[in-house]
Amino acid sequence: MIRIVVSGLCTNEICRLASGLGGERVSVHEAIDITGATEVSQGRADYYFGACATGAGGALAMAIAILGYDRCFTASMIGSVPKEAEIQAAVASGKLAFGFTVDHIDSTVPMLITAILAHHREAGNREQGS
Amino acid sequence: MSAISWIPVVITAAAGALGAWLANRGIAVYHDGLRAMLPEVAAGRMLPRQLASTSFKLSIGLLIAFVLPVSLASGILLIHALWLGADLIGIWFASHNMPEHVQGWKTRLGQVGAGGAGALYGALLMLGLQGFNYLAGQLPVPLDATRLAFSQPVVFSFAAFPAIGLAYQYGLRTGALAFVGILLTRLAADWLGLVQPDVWALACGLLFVTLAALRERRPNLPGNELHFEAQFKRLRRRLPLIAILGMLYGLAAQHLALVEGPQSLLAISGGSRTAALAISLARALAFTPIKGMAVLTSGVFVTDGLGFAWTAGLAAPQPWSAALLGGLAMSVEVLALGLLGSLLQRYPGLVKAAGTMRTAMTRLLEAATLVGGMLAAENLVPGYGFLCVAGLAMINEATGTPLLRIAVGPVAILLAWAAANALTFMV
Repeated sequence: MIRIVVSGLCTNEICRLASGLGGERVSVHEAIDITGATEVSQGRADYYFGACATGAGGALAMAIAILGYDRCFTASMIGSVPKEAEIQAAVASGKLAFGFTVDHIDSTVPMLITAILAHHREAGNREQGS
Repeated sequence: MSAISWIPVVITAAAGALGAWLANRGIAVYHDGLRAMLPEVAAGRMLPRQLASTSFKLSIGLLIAFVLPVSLASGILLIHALWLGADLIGIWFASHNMPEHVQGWKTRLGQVGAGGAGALYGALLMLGLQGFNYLAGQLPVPLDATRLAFSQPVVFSFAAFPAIGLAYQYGLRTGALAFVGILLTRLAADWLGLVQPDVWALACGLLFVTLAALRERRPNLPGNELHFEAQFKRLRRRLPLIAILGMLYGLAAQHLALVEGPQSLLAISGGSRTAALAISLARALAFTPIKGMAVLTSGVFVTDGLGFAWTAGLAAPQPWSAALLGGLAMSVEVLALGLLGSLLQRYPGLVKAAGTMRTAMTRLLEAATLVGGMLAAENLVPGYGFLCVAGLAMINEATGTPLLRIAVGPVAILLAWAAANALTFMV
């Protein structure tokens, strides 16, 4: 089970979307940003999603402060539509917190869930193979 | 008649200089995302050059796609235009003069450069806007005729946002009940002949939100509270500088040289200072938790404070009292941060409520600016305005919103205005 914590703007929409897409394999809950980021840092949640107006403002501020910049990724910004390949690469490189703009929730969240599930499937296969 | 009025130019130049200088020294930045990154640079986990390029990527889209169209369409400068730019200037200068541990003349030169470039940027921004306004007034189809149509949907719908927020948080029934309450308050205020029924309706909505948030209070796990003494001490040392910043911001508010957000900007362009006052207060309340916590964790202040300095400045009757109240408001914001930090951690309901309120404001602004844009465009080019704006807005939706939703209205107005003028020349 992959645990995702959602903070920032439009948490309802993101939660609904993410748990609908992830089905049985993910558990999604919302929390205020400081709690959410702390949960990820303490290992009580696996990933942090946050939306705000710009993608890296309110969405990632607390995640950057608590998890460090190198574990955060801005998945979408104003004027640039999210790109599947970049998101896959970010998940694969071990980023834990993802920020995106409220405008891009509908496109970003499915890409993130797909990438995260694929990443974990691969990791699971590797473990079984070794 | 001269097209230039110099006092706003001086104000924005000073505010630009101070904003860029504070960003350069890492004392305050405007962009919420940058604030969290400054300690990362200080800790060496991020390069100054990386910060500069990230800050550019973060701000430039917002500036071009949203801030400029809104400022031009309304004829008033949105604060983002000045201080997002000031962030970029300050951080750019800092990215070039950070040879490790050398606090020499180069650093100082960078500070002077940031201040100077910030002042120049502020002055040019205001001169540019005034020049645009002057030219816009000279054309056969003036732009200001559309401003009322554009601003009305935003101003008159704003009071609904608490109900939307409650609906997000507690579902349809609570949301609908709150909405009826807001509606009844407006009716009562109208019936009693009060001057601003919308403001009373908004106040009623905010009361509902506060009650709901307090009902959810759960003083949970007190041992887990984070403390930010070092950051708080660092901020308190900067108090005189922050007070000056607040004075300048208060003065700018009183002069309407700079406006804190898109909703209050449209209220002002529609002619209602009281509505702008109420809107800015509601916005400051909704943004205080997120800004306050980000300031406490990073030790870096917000260039526009928590938002109350602008409200205080706008409420003040004269320039000197605006400066005084603005300075006072921002100082209190700093001094209250410690208290705010523990309050917010003990009552997460407040943080959550503020978050849903920001969501609600964003959603409402998207709808209201779209409608305003459609109305204004139809006024400018009858028969084509509705067609073009609604059509283009939905094409934007269908393609994953390459243009920010809240930018659709302002961009549409500018295009329709240009088209209307072009048509008069052709006929």
